[in-house]
This record gives sequence, C-alpha cells and structure tokens, in this order.
Amino acid sequence: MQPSSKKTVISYLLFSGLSTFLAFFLPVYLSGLLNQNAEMRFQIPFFAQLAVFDLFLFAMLYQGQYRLKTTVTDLGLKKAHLWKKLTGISFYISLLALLVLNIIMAGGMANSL
Amino acid sequence: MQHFTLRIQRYDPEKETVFFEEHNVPWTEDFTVLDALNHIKDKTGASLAYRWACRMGICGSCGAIVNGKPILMCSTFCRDLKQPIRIRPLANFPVIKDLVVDTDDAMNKFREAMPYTKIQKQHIAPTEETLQTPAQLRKLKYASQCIKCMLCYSACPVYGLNKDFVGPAAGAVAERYNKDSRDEIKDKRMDSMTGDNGVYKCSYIGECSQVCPKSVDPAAALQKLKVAGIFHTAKSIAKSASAAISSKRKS
Amino acid sequence: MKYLEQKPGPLWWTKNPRYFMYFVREINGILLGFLAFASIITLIAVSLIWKYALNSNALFIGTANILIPVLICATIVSSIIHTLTWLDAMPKILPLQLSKNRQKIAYVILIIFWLGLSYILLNIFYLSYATVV
Repeated sequence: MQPSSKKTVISYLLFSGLSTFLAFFLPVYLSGLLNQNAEMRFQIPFFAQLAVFDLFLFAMLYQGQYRLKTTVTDLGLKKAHLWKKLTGISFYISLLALLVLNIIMAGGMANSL
Repeated sequence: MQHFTLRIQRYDPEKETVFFEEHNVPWTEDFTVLDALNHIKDKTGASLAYRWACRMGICGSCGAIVNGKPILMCSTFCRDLKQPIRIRPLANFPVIKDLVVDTDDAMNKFREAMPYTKIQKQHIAPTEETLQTPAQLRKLKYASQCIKCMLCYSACPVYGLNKDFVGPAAGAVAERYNKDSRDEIKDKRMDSMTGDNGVYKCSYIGECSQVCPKSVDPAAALQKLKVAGIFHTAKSIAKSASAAISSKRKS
Repeated sequence: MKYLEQKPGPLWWTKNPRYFMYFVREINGILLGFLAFASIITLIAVSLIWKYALNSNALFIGTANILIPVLICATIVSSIIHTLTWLDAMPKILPLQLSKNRQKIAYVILIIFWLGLSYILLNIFYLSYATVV
C-alpha cells in the first residue's frame, strides 16, 4: 500500500480549482479586455483590476506548468525528470516576471497620481 | 464473402521472435473472433496460444487487440470486422506467447484498492446477516461489474508508460468499495489511492471507459476518487492539526 | 525464454481520435500558459519602452497596437478550447452515476450555464457591450 501524498493532492486541488475558474471566467474577461470601446458600468479601483489580472495570469501559468509536467510523463520522454525540473524553473521565472510587471504597472500608476 | 482472413501476431518465446500468420476461416454468420481462433487451432495452427474460458463475456479471459481496438474476442463477431482481421495481444503487458500476456502486475494493483470492507486480525464469524437496501446496492452496482479483463489497462497509455500507476480497474474497484454501505476502511483505502502513483496520475484520456465491455466507466471512477481524495486529505490535515493543538494544550 | 515487453511508442497519441483529442487538450493548456508568459513579457517590454523612449515612435506604436490584440485573440481562442474541454470532464466528477448519454446532456447544460453566466457578467460590468468583430 503506498502512503498518501499531501503534496500531490494539494497541487491537483490548485490545478483543478484554477482550471475551473479559468474555464468559466477567462473568455468573458478577455472579451472585456479586447473591446476597448466598451464603457464600464462602474469604476473599479486600479489595484483591484491589477489583482484580478494577476489572478488570471497566475492561473494560466500554474495550469500550464501542471499540464506540461503531465504531458512530459505521458509522452514517455527520456530524462523526463530533467524536463519536469526545467518546467518548474520556468514557472518560477514567469512568476518573477509577473512580479516585475506588477512593480512597473503599480509604479506607473503611482507616478500618474 | 467466402471466408474470413485473420492476420495473427505471434511470439515464439524460445526464439524470441515476433512473426505474423494469416489464416482463412470459412465464413459463418455467427462466428466470433474466438470461434475463428478455435477453428484455426482445431484445423491448422495447433501451436497458437490464447486464453479463453466462458465464451460469453463474463470471465474476462479472452481479451486481445483486434483491428487496433482492445475487445473481448468472444463478444465480437467476425462479420462486423474489416478484413483482414488483425489480431495481436493486449498492449502494455509482457507477452508470454502468441496472444497470452502476463497480467500479474495489473492484478496486483487491486491490492492498492483494498477490495474488502474490513480488516480483522482474526476471523470473527458474523452473528447476523448484513442488510443492504436496493438503493445502497445501486450506488456500487455499476463499479462492481468489473470482470478484470484488463482491456482498460491495455488502453491506458499512462499505465503503459508507468507501471506503478494504480490504473483504471483498481480505481473502479476502490470506488466500488468506497460506495459500499458495509465499508469500514475508506480512510485507509483513500490513503493508498492518494499516493504518488495513485489516482492523480490519471490524465483523463478516457479510452478505458470506451473499451470497457461492462460499462463500468473507470474514467469517471478515477475522477470521483480525485475529488474524494481532496476531501480525505483536508479531513486528515484537520485531524492532525487538532491532534497537534490538543497535545500542545496538554503539555 | 523471454517475455516480449510492450510499451507505447512516442507517437501513441496519433493512434486513436480520443488519444489525439487528449493531446490537443493538453497542448492547448500548455499554450495557454505560454500565452500568459508571452503577454507578461510583451507588457513589460511595452511599459519599459514607452517609459524610457520611443513613445512617439510610429513603428513601435503600430507593432504594439497589432501585437497586443493578436495575443488577446489567440488567448480567447485557447481559453474557449480550454472551457469546452474542461466542461467535458466535469460530468464525470459529479457524485451521480450518469450514463454516457446523460453525461452528454450534462455537458450541454454546463455549456449553456457558462454562456449564460458570461452574458450576465458582461452586462453587469459593461454599460453596453458590443460584440467585437
């Protein structure tokens, strides 16, 4: 009998929760971004908009890296463990880039105020 | 059509060679693939090795890949198949000889599912019958139809690439016992199913449910187990947290 | 005497339409992650270039005006494929035993729910939402 792995369960929970969130809300959110002529019904504070934007990007990145790790295993690639490590590193680099973007955007907003 | 043409992949374990043989079987309207193989064995190819028993789709012995699809040979009519009928052994298993494969590894996966309702150190004979209502039986009936034919393991590329994965049939059996009203060991079973090579290795390809001859839907069972595993893990984290808090209070 | 080992080849996903659909689903998910990364890098580049130089450069403005909508459109297509494939799996996790036909009906109901929810959200957040052509 193999022991339970909480890490596996938690990463699946994150993946399925974020994917369900993306499935229901990402297309409508992107439709709103695409149509620059659409007038918003009420003003949403900039930092709230940024937080929502970050949540969507994080969800897309997380489910992308989870699926990439699964696909690497399912394709039976040689040295799959190295590809998985590379995927993990790329994910953290993406999160770093997201942090940099947030700093730039928040800084730009602060300057304009 | 005068005859069926069967193209069979054979394996000689002594010479360690794979070769193909073509046989013509006289056209008979109600011949199944198994009937055709029995005809070949009787008349021409006495050394052809394959498993079969009940010849009515209940024992699960006669699984093979026919025209690219894992099926039970006793339940598939030759008249419905494109000629020549290509037969090869079930995929993802080591071939012992011809169409006979070694399914021991997959059979052992059922142990991970803990296919029993209680653990007793000594056998204690029950003093009264255990009643189960029709509604309680309905919850587990679909998953209890598994005949261990191994077609789902043959169709599962995840199992093919990683033999440690519990696999679809073991998942279906775990779901069957989880749903059983008499079950007393769900927590232990879920510990086993939520391991590193447990249900979370399933990528939901879905082919297992397509090939299952008993409509067990192992893909659905595995997805349900994934959700059940989340609640089980949350419960066990909460239990360990409250145990840690109460032991801290005592000390 | 040796058993013959059998293992799926690297192109196992081409053997069957259902295997291929699984592969399309996974590649789409990976693409969605890649598009998120590409969007982050594009926005960083646009913000930095805009801030430090070239904010009046026509080529830069033209490229940014094409690249960002293309990225968003590609992400919309990828997100719709993700939604359709994810909702296909959802009937399986429900604590109900549904036959294959009922699972298909549940899938259609989920799609209708998703479209309805999207319409309601667009009307909540936008005064008058005109469909983008």
